[in-house]
Amino acid sequence: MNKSTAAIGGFALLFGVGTALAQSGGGDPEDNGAAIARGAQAWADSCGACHNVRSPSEYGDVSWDVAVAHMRVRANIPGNVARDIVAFLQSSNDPAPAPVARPVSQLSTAPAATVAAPSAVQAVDIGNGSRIYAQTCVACHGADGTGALPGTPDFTDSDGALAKSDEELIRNMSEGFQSPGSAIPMPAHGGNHELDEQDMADTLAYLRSEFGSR
Amino acid sequence: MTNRQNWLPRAKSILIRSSVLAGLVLTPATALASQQDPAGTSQESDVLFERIEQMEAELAQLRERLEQAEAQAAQAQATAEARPPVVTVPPMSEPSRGLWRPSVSDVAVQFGGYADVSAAISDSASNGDVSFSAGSFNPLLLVQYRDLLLFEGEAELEIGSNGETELALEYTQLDIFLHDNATLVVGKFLSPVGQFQERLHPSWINRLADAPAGFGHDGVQPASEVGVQLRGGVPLGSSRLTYAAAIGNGPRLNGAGAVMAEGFGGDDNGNKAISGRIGFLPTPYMEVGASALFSRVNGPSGEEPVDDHASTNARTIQSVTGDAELGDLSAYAVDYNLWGVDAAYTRGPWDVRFEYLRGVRDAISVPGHDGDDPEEALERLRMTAWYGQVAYRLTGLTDDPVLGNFEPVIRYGEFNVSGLEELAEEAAEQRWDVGLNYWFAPSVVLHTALQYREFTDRHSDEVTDDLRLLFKVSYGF
Repeated sequence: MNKSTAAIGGFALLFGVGTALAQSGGGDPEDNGAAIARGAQAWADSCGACHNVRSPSEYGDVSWDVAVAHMRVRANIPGNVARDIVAFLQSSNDPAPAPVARPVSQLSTAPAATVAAPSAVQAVDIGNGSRIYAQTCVACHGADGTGALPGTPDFTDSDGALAKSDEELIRNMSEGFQSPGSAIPMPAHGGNHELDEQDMADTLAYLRSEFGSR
Repeated sequence: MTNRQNWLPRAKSILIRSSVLAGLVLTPATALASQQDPAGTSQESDVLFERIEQMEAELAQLRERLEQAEAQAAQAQATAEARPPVVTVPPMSEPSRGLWRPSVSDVAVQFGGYADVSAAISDSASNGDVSFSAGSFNPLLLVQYRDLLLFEGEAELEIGSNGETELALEYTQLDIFLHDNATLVVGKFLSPVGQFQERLHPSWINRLADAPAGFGHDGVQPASEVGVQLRGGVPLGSSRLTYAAAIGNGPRLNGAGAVMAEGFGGDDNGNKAISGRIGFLPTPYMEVGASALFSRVNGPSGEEPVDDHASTNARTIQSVTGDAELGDLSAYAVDYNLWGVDAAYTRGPWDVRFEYLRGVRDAISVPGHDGDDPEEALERLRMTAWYGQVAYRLTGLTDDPVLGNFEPVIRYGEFNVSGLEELAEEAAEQRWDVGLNYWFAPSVVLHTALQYREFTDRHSDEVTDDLRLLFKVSYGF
């Protein structure tokens, strides 16, 4: 009797504390880009605490809804963080976005892969690239560029990923890429399809300036 | 093509208006010409005829242009029909793996789980052969209703050493999302005590082929509980606090007085067990936790226990038989309390874990004969289990895609028992594991491990140590 009463009291206390400490933290639900960026980091942080992170492409959108709800309970992930993770996974499991429709007079016979060539962008903005890296890329590539997840390429390696041409790297960023030795592929646009060609070029410029040897 | 299409009706309109105008002009002009004086009006008639001729010429030009326009329109339409249609492919949003739910439905269903097969070579096996095992198959069903409810049910199917298929319900629980930081769980759920049983025991997550000594089923770590649980995570700046508190039916004693902490579907003594864990993550890749269980257990009833959870992992707590002379002690309830700490570091290629649990069941005393002092029927039982484990994925050392899939791992653990000789003989041990994993995919792994076990409380005429080579392939899906 006494123990049960204490237990119920404890439950009420915990629930009250949980409610009192509840933080919105999820930001504007309409700001999907920010949710995706937060979700990328939370995905790497939360899932990797117990097991290898799975590729976003392993499940469809609704499957990720259910699977993350399961992990929300098992790993005590706050609900707003879980929703961010779902936003990132559902964004990342899409294929590369279709090329933007253009007027008839501007249509090219070149394959879609070449549409994303950096020739279409204006002067690069390294500051913008730095912000994008910190929001979207850092979850897997790490703040120091050496890779936060097993198998992620080391940007500081002079013979590594940054030895590739700009065109190839932009293509990898835009369409997604499976690095040899990495357990999961990088999703197109790092999983954030709100990023455009200019953002890709800005991010590459930041990578070269921060980690590159040339 | 758009301009041409617009021109056609305009030309028709001009043609019609011109015809009407010509009719209006010609009719009265002809009538006037027949009624008036031919000498006085001949000059006017000439003018009218000249204008009529001009209009007829314009009408002919219009007819010609109309015919040209119709021909061009027909040609344009033929060209358009011959061109392949432009298809807009919407982003793929509903692939369909292991899943059934229309995108507009409130209910989502997913099937998942894991399975493994294994083999072991032991130097103490009677025949010395390799022993294959179909391992286990743990199907998991998840059914979610909006962001409000989640049902989770997992079964465990095993083929025992006697060839029989055994079925057990790992957990079946309903999760009610109260808010972002609190979830109410009801049903049979994995015990929140410690970290191994709740989060690490699936074979594709566990870094070695079996559970540490004293953990998992039949260890000091509680396996599951039936009751109610409140749990969640609360962000504290860049850190996070997690909590789980449960009220349940609690553990029971078997015929020998050993503690069985599986989730029982009923409470034999009316005293609810309280268990839980508090975790703190100062950074996402580091966690420390503390757990506790408070319960009361009835003494053994004197009946032989039923070993309903046979395991290939040698002898277990539940297989420890009781002393027939104990008699029925079920009327005597004593405390069984447990506490523990755990820690994890999981940054980059590292996976480092430590866990410690200590459980104490009080002694059971019965009244002495003829008013004598109480006699101790079962002495106090103390159980301690701990392990330390380090795994390192070679991606931290090499970019080679094959070498990077290897993961060396080492674990040392102990399970110490005092106060129950039968249990100490059966289960107390020190265990070394040295393993090498190969990850085919994030959730597909081949475990290999060399395992040395020293049974610390066995008599010299029994098997006191065992050297085994273990193989296990696990797939989480």
